[in-house]
Amino acid sequence: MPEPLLDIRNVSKTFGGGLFLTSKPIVALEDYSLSIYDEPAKITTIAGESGSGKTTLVNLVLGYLPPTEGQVLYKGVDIHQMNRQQRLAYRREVQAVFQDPYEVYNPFYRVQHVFDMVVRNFRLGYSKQERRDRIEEALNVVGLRGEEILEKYPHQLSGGQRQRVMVARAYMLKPRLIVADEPVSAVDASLRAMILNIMMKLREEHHISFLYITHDLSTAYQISDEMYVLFQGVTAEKGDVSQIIENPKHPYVQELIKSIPVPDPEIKWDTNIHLPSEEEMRIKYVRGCRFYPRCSFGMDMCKEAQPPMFRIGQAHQSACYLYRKAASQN
Amino acid sequence: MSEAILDSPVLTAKTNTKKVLEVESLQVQYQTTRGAVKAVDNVSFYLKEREILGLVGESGCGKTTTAMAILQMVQPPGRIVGGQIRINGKNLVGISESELRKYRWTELALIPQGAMNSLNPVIKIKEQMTDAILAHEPKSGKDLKPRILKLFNDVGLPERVYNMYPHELSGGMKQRVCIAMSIALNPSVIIADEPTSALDVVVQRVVAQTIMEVKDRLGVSMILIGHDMGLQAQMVDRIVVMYAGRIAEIGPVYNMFKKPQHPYTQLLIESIPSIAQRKPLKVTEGLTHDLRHTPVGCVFQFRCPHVTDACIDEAQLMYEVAPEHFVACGRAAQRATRLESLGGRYA
Repeated sequence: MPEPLLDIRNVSKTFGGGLFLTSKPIVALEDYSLSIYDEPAKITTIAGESGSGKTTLVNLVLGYLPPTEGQVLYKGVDIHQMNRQQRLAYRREVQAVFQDPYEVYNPFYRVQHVFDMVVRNFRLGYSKQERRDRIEEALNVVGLRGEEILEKYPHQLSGGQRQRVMVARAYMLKPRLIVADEPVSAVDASLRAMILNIMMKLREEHHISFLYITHDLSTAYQISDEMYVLFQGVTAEKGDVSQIIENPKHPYVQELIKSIPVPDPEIKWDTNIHLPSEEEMRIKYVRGCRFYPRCSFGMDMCKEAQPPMFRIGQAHQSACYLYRKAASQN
Repeated sequence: MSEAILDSPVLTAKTNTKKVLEVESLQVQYQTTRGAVKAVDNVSFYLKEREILGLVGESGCGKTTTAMAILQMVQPPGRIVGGQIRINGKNLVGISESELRKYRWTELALIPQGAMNSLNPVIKIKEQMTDAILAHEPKSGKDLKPRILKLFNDVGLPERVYNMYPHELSGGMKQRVCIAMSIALNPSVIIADEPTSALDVVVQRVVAQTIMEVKDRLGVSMILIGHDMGLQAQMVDRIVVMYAGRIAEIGPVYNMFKKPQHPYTQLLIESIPSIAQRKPLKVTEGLTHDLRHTPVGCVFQFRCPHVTDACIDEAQLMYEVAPEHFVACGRAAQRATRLESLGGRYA
């Protein structure tokens, strides 16, 4: 087995609790593991609703937050124990694209400045001409031309252009992994398709892996290879994206997928499923399965301990005791 | 030409049910130092009784401005410069503020975008609801509690919400409070501006179903603004597609998804990612033109893959291609039926 590019090992992250544990700490992620192998390059989706721990995960992977427990390894080295050289390589090879393409720009500088900063910080290119060529190449990859946008101010660009400039900036560093945190939730449908197509192109032609963080299972289904569905800080289901979407196993994932409005007036919402009330959705269960209060298949064992991952198929695992027998037969 | 507008098929189409709301040749402009931006440019449509009409389009196409114009809430520098908005036959454009108060909430109500921000955080839910009702029915007295609790029951809220503050509620519950307020005075039309866009999918579905139940039970008509085509497919009866301040296509929801006629609608439908099938996503190249300088011809000419000289030189007409299905594209209409038989009007 080759070494994973990114390896998150049993990471937990809790917030708060106060100095003297005066309040209850909030568990954002618990005993969370994730491995990304990049031979070949893949798009790995982390799907989850608000409060599921997606943003905490992004902050951990990018090194903005230290984990409470566990380790985040990049090419086998803990990102908080790296030496100077390793850290520089990590900062260069792992890039990020964020949700809001309006807020990441400094409005006082022209777009050129975004690229100048990258060139300066990572000392790219030996001559002015080479630097200019690299910027132009990066912009061409996302379907833009330097003369069109470099001299403009951020407010003169459209939302789609701004987001594409951010992808070009990331691409210029020849990264191995791009962490894309809801990159398309703030742009229109037609532009959304454009950005998703760029992501697929970078995967296929430039061997860049993605960690695609989203709440939108439809776009995940269209572009990604692997998926992890998060629920209140733990993985509910993981595996091949088409297996999860087409044949979800965990009761939470089933509920989630049945709630997605299908853009087809002939496929109406299935009205026979049990939908939780808002009351039920707000219960946070600390012991056992987090989904237990809402689950219609709840069993006694579910209250005792968080279910481990049970293997259902070759590339499909679910954290639900319903599949403990199927798993033991495999 | 004036006759063409009066006899426009949108307004004279034979329909069995009553039209509660009619928007006719609505024009809204934003005055800027560099010219007027035509945010809504000659838009006409109607809303029938007990119907949900979807209003879709990309950001900046004028859908929220249209809704604000219907509610007479366009803020300066925006201004309604032409057209009529009739609710149950009575024109709202140009009437005084005091007269307008008779229509707000009792005839026309709004479910705003982002319920988290539309409730006052320091006032209890009961007081906010009481205020809204008393402002329009000053004589209804003190005994509003049973009435409010009944409204809560209608939208599936527990009674204890009555004594709570907005921050104690989840996003879905806050949105339900807004729905309860919108139906408090039995309006005939509710305008919902992306009512579920800030909610998680499961909550979104539960709230969307509440909206549909409430609509059926009270017999109100609704305009649902949104860009989630999935939600539109599930909830609405007819869809209006707007582009650059004009209507590109109006039609029954089935036709719009299965047989879209306008090239823009086709691109919009093809660019929706779905969990029903994996398919390559279509990309619409180009940008909307500057809305200060409306072209002579079709507004979609700069991005349309099938553009011809006629699209650039001649004013765009609106054609009826099927019952209640109108498209602002000559080529599409020609393909759908024989053009001569169609009475075109200026879109």
